[in-house]
Amino acid sequence: MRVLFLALGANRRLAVTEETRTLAAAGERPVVLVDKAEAWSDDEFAAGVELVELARLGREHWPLAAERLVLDRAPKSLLRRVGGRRGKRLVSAYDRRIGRPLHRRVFLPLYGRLWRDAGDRPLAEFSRRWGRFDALVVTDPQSFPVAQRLATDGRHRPRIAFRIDQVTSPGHQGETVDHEDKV
Amino acid sequence: MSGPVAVVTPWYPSSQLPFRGAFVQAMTEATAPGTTSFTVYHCDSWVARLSAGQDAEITAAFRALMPAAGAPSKTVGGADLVTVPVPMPRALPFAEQARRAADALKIALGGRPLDAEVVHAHVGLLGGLPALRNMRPGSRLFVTEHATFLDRMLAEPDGHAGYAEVLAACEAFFVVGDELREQLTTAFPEHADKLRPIANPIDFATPRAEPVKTLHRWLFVGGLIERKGVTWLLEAFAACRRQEPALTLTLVGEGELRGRLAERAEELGVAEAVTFAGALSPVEALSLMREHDVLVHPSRYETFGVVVIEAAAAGMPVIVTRCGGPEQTLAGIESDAGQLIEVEEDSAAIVAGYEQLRDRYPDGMDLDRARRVLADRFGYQAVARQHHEAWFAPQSRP
Repeated sequence: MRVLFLALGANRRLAVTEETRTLAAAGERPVVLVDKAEAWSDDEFAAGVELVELARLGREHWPLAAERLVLDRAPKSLLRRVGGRRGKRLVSAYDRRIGRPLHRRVFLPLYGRLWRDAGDRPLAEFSRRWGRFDALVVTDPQSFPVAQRLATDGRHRPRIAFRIDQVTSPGHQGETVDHEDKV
Repeated sequence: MSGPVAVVTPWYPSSQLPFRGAFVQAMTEATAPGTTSFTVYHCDSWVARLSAGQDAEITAAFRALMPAAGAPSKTVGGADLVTVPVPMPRALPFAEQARRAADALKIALGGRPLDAEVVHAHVGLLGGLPALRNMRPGSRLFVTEHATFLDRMLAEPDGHAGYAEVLAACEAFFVVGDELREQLTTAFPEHADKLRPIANPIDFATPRAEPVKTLHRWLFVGGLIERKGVTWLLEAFAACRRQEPALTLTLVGEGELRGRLAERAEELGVAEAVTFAGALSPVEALSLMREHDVLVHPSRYETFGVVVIEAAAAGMPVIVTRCGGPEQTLAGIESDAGQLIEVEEDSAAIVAGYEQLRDRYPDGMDLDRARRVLADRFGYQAVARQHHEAWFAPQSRP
C-alpha cells in the first residue's frame, strides 16, 4: 500500500513522525510531502520513510531557472567571494531582505499571470515522479488544498485519512486493558 | 442496554497529543460495551498561523474533500472513532471555535444529523454546541464538563450564550468535581437541577508486582506549569534529599517550566537525582507508577485530579494538596491513601507532608482499603453504570 502523508504546514510534526514510524515498522515505505525540509531538521524519521520537499520541485521551468541564476546563484556567489569571512552573513541578509521578497512579491505573481499553471508545477512534478498513492493522510490545515488537488487529479481516487489507523483499519487505536471490573 | 450512542468531543488521544482526552477514551472504554453501536466523533482543532486568505482556501478545500474522507477507525471498547479535523487560525474566541467544530462535523456527516438516540458531548461549549447543532429531533443530549478553563469560556459573552443554549437543551449535565459544579451553579442557577457529579473512570485492574517498601522514588505526573506546583515540588525534594540522599524524583510531562526546572535542579545540586521523562502516554505513565514509591501532586487547583486516583489504583501512596478535587475524591480514606497537605506558596507543606507520611508508613495507612473504596467509586463498572442509567433508564427521559 502506497501512503502519502501531506505535511505542508509542519505544525503537527509529532503525528507525522509517529504515524510514519508505525507504517514503516509494518514494512511499508510511506512518503512525506513537506514544504521545506529545514522545518523538520529537529525531527527524526524512521528508516524507510521518504521525505520530499515541494519547494524544490518544479524548478526546471525555464523562467524559474533563469530567475534562480540571476536572483539567487550569481549574487550569492559574488557575495561569498567579496565577503570573505562575512560572506555567509551577507548571503543570509541578501536572501532575507532582497532575494526571497523579490521572488515572492514580484516573480511568483508574474509567473502566475504569464503561465496560468505556474503555481501547480511543483505538485505536477511530484505527481509525475512519485506516481499514484492508495491513501493520502492529511496532517495539518495547510495540506488541505494540496490534498484536494491530488485527490481530484485524474480518475484515480485515493483514500483520504487524518490518522493512520483509518488507513490500516480495522486497526486498534489506543491500548485496551482487560479491566477486571469492566462491564 | 440499548443504543446507538454518539459521543462528540474536542479531545481524544492522538499521535500528536497522546494525553489529551485520555478520560474521554476511558469513558468510552467503560460505557461502549453493551451498546448496540457507539461512535466517537473527535472534532480535533488543528490550529495554525493562517492569513485570512489561507483560512478561506483551506475551508473551501476542506469542504470539497470531506465527503470522500473520514472512514472511521476502531477505538477502545469496540467503538468506532471518526476523526473530524477542524482547521482554524490561532486565538479564536471559544464560541467561534465551537461554531467551526459544529460546521466541520456537519460537513463530515454530509449534512445528515447524528444517527443516534443518545448523544453525549464532552466539554460544554466545544463539544456541546457541535453536538446540539448536529442532533436529529428527538435525540437526547448529555454533556460532561471537565474543562479547567471554564471561567475563561464563560467570560466571553458569546461563550456564555452558547453554553446556556447547551445547558437548556441537554437532559443531564455531568460535572467532574465540585469546583466546576459550583462555577456552573453560580453562572446558570436556573439549570442547577441538571448538574450531576461524575468521575472519570479509572483502571484498577493491574496491581503492582511488589508493594511499596520505602518512599524513596518520588513521582510527579502532569504539566510542568505553575498551576501544578512543580517549582515548589523541586524545592521540597532538594530539602528532603539533603536528609535522605537515596531519594530520586521523576517528572513525567512537558511544559513551559521544563528548562527552568532543569536549571534549578543544577543549582540545588540534585540534577543527578532528577529525571525528566517527558510526555508519556497514559499507559506508560501508569507503568511508571508501578515502579515508583510515592506520587507527589502539589497542584494549586484541580477539578478532579485523575492522576491521584490512578496512583492509588497502582498501589502507591500519594502526597497531594487540598486543591479542589483530591479532598473530595479521597474523602473518608485520606489517611489510608496517603497525606493531604495545604496549598501554600512555598515548599514547607510538601516537606512536612513527606516527613509525616514517611514516619507513619506503612503501618499508619491501608493502601488496599483505599484501592477497594476508590475502585467502587471510580472503577469502570461504577462509571458505566452511572452513564447507562442516565442514557437508557426510562425515568430519565423528559
